[in-house]
Amino acid sequence: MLLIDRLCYTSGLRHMNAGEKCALSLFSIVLCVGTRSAAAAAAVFLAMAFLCIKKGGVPAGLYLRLLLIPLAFVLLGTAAVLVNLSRTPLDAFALPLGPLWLTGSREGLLGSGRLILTAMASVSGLYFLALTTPVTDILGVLRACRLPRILAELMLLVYRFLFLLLEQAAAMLRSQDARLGNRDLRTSLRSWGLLASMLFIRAMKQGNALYDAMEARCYDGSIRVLPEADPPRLREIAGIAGFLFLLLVLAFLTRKSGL
Amino acid sequence: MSDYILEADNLTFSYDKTGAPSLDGLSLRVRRGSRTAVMGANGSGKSTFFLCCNGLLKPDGGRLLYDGVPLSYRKRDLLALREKVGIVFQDPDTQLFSASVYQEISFGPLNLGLSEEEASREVEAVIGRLGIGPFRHRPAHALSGGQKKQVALADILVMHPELLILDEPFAALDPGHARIIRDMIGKPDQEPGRVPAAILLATHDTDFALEWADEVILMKDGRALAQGPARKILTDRQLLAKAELALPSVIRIFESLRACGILGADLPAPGSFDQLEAYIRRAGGEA
Repeated sequence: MLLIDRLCYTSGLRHMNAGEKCALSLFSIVLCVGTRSAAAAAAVFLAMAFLCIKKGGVPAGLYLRLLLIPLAFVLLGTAAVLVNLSRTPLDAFALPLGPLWLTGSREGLLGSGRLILTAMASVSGLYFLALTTPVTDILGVLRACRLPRILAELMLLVYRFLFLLLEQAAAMLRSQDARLGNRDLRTSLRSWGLLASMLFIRAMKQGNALYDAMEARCYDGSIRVLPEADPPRLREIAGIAGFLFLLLVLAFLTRKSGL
Repeated sequence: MSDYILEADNLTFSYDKTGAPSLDGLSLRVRRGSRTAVMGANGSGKSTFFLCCNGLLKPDGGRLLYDGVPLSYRKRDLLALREKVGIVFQDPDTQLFSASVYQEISFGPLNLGLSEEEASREVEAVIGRLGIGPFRHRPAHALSGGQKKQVALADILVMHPELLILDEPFAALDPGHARIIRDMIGKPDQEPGRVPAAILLATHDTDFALEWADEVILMKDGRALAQGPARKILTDRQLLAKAELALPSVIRIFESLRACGILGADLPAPGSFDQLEAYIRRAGGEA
């Protein structure tokens, strides 16, 4: 999570308008899942990888490693779709298993291939957003989309507190290590308990102090901050619209071929 | 308009209402146009007093006057008070609520009721003045301690408070960042007419206080031990010892040079190292 956070703050696409990025990511995913077209999914995957690696500056190796995490889940999920246990062998492959066959059909094979492609393309669409757009920018878009105020404010505070607590937990853990707090299972269990309870107390204290500090700056119950939007550019909007149109065309042309 | 922007009269406050009080009969006065250093050991009640100054804490007893008027704790009056009194908290992590530096600083001006254009102009101005530009696009959690402090100061300066309160602004800062903060306190506002009417600053650094402050308030156990001109208070060995503070090193060197006969016995105490150096150079030239 820390890695993704750092990457999006240093991304080459950091100062592209956040609304544009959200739209590109969201509509690409919708088109992928909606059309189930393998060609469109491949196009999305390639385009997102290009944007993240070439334009955003995410190291290619790191990008692939990040993709491996969801890929593991996708593969496990599709395995269940692909492999059947049946009395008659199907056309793609069949392994005898006593009186039964561990078997799969050609159609199933093609279907799961398409499923994997669609799923990974959707993941790449989400990664594009996560790797180029800081949470505060996404929050700005959500606010513009009329997200209820209370949710936007909560997200703002939660995001900040996540890092505050993470920092404190790391510091406490280090200081416990320095005093041999984690030398064996017994001490580790004890130390973890202490850490969790201390973290809870700290979070309460920090919350109170933050509230005081906000009150000191005339906080009256609603958090108003200036929107910090990079201006949208016509060229980028045209590019995104063109890309989405291309996806539709691709999906339409290949709808008969089963791709 | 009262001569004193802030007056405390016999304030008492205790956090848990049964144990030892944090403020125990505190009386002091802050003159308009003064730079006042509030000094005292840890736990002497400085931070508690500051929280009382803009109504975040309500004293259990005694009177607190802002500009000659007793504080009112009605919501509307509190907001009006907080528009005038700005506190820079000691730990910036308790002050910064947004991960975005720009949004963080914009919170105060928008609360003051400025339009988005005005607020944005103010925020840009303070970002420029405090040298926040180079890291304005970094998230709050990726800033160094010194940078966070700069943002915390900007948070408050952007609101142009009448009374500026700084709670140990140099705690845990490297010399570079300490200088940035010092420069800002030296000239907190360049626009005429928007300079804070008074600055109240908590510190343990007697050398800094001697150089910067015109008034010093010594605190101990929730009470004011002494209040007076900086040169008078900060050269009083016994008083400082009672407040558990160190004699400024400038004064120590000055006194030993005088005791050795290197400096004349009639010289007044120096207010800074520069002044002491000038004394020494003059004495060397005469010899």
